[in-house]
Amino acid sequence: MTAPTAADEPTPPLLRLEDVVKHYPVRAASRLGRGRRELVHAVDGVTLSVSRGETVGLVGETGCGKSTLARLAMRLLDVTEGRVVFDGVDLTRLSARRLRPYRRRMQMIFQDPYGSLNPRRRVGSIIAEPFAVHGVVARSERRRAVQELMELVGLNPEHYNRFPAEFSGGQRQRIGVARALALRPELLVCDEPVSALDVSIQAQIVNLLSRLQAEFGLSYLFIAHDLSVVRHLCDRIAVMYLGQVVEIGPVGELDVEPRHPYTQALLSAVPVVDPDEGARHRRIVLSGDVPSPIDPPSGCRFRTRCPNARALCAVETPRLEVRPGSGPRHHAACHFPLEPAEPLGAPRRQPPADLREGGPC
Amino acid sequence: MLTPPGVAGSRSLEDGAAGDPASSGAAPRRVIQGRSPWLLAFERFRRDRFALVALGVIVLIVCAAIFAPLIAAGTGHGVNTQYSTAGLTATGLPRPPSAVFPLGTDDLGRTLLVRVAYGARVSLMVGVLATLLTVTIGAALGLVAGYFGRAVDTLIARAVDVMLSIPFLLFAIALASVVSVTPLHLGPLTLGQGVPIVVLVIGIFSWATVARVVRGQVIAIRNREYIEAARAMGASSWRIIVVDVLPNVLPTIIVYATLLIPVSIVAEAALSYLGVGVPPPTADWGAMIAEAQSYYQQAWWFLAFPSIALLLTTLAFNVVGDGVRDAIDPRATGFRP
Repeated sequence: MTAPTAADEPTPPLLRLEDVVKHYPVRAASRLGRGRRELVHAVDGVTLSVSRGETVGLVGETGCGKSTLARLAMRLLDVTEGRVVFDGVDLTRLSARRLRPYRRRMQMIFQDPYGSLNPRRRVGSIIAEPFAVHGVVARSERRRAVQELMELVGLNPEHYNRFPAEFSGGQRQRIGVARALALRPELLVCDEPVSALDVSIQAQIVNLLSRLQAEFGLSYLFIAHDLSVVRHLCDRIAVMYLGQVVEIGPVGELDVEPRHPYTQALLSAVPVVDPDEGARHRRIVLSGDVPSPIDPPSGCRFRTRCPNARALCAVETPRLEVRPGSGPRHHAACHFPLEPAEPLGAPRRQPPADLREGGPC
Repeated sequence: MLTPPGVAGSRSLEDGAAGDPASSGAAPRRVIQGRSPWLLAFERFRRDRFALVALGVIVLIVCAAIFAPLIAAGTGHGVNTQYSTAGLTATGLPRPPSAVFPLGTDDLGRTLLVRVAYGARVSLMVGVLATLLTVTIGAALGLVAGYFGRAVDTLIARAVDVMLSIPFLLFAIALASVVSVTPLHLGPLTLGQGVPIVVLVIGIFSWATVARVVRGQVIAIRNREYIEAARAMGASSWRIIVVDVLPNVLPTIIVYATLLIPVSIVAEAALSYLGVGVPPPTADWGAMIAEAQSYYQQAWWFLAFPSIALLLTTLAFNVVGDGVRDAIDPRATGFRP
């Protein structure tokens, strides 16, 4: 189980996903053939928690269920099984009306800075929408509040009347951040907020998010498919593969001494800046494709691509638990975990020099 | 702040930098006016010469309809006044255009110019009202079907299929004939033969295509992230439909509506031509064309002028509709109702 022990954490986590499952029905054969009903196992039994002020990174390949998990946490999608507990309250069965107060406390930042802003509304009205929905800030005060938010995220408050099309990608993402912050949430779920941006602008947004966290005591569930961004920002990292968390642990442990072969492969894909180190760097390229989530492999889901797979892996699903040699908060779902001392071509953890707060793009 | 290169609105940084101290309230700031998609569309439309000429024609026709009584007063002839001696030849045929009767007379010795002008009233009224009804029903059902999906969608989609499979003219003639014999009582409203029933019939038969188009667009929009963002902040479905979805399908609806006006005008003329539309003696282009059929070899003007009026009106609306479409969605590839 991923739950930190009581000694670790005196307060209950802000967000807790308990054995969350999301299956989508799909029809396999043609309409005429009265096709078999099959299930896409988008998320299959994920347990994950985010404490107050903590940033949990969620990484994995495209299609591994990260975004689905984010939407389940936000209750933009309903879980098939399991619970989503926010501040001690199970959100999964709440009616839309009962859910509204919790909506204020958790907000989302989206991946696509073009798709996440309504092209037909002025920026001021987009950022003020949360006020209008919840009727919180008086109409006459909204404009000032919006301009404060714009300033907070590094936008020119004078651009209040502009349309999204008149901004660059990085600026649009700042608009998305301002909108998410409008209701002063406690939790921000960030669904790959920087993967659609230029690398130089990624750093600005990442730094903005980390500054806002310090300023407002925010908690983040930060989704990315790029480990280097996550390492810079997060306290803990969870690695997902085919709908399940295969490894979770604090930054500095998981990314330095990964126990799951999949994590190791992901880490080896992070580019190394230092040429000397790059020469020693061993890139692990996984063979084969990700299996279909409609019919995931038995036992360990990674076994079909795992270089260390043995007979047991096909039979028994490995539990996500502390493996001998790891710290108490570092869990891996592997029958044959890598040795902590096993030499790995992964780069050291270092604050990237280019991640420095720049002016607004 | 630097202006991003290549962004559509970068010019407006200089253009729209006019101060707006009056509305800035507590914190006096310059306000930079964004260029709305509507403004941009309007600017594109303004450069479309064909559409502007057509718009001028429409304005003329609208003026003719509004000032039809003035035209009647100018000639000194009423719409339904029959000049059985001055307006008809000795053999009882319509008189050709002259100083007294500018566009000639019809088979009953009535002044054609005045009747064509009054006919514009019926055509425009039916065209606009029927389009409004069509678009309202179609857009509302399309929005609901597309946004909510599931059973509601199935129900509405099937209703659309059913509506599209009913032959319009056949049903319209049947309904209008029935109503002309036994008026339909809808609460305080009594629907006999006339403009209201024509509007209703056209509306009932045209909403299906609008609903289908709107539904398709809504389904595409429903999965955009800004809709998810609205849901994540707790907005209700109805609020999302009105605030986020509708403005994005409105351009399509408007284009569709402008192109539906001529279609409705022609449908009304067709019904009146078949004698089940607007009843005589109301001046109506379709009815006039029907009457003129028996006389066109002796009196070309009787057939020509109502036909030209109808052609010009529908042509002008079509050209404007195309212009509006090009202006609102420059990438659109000529879809038509």
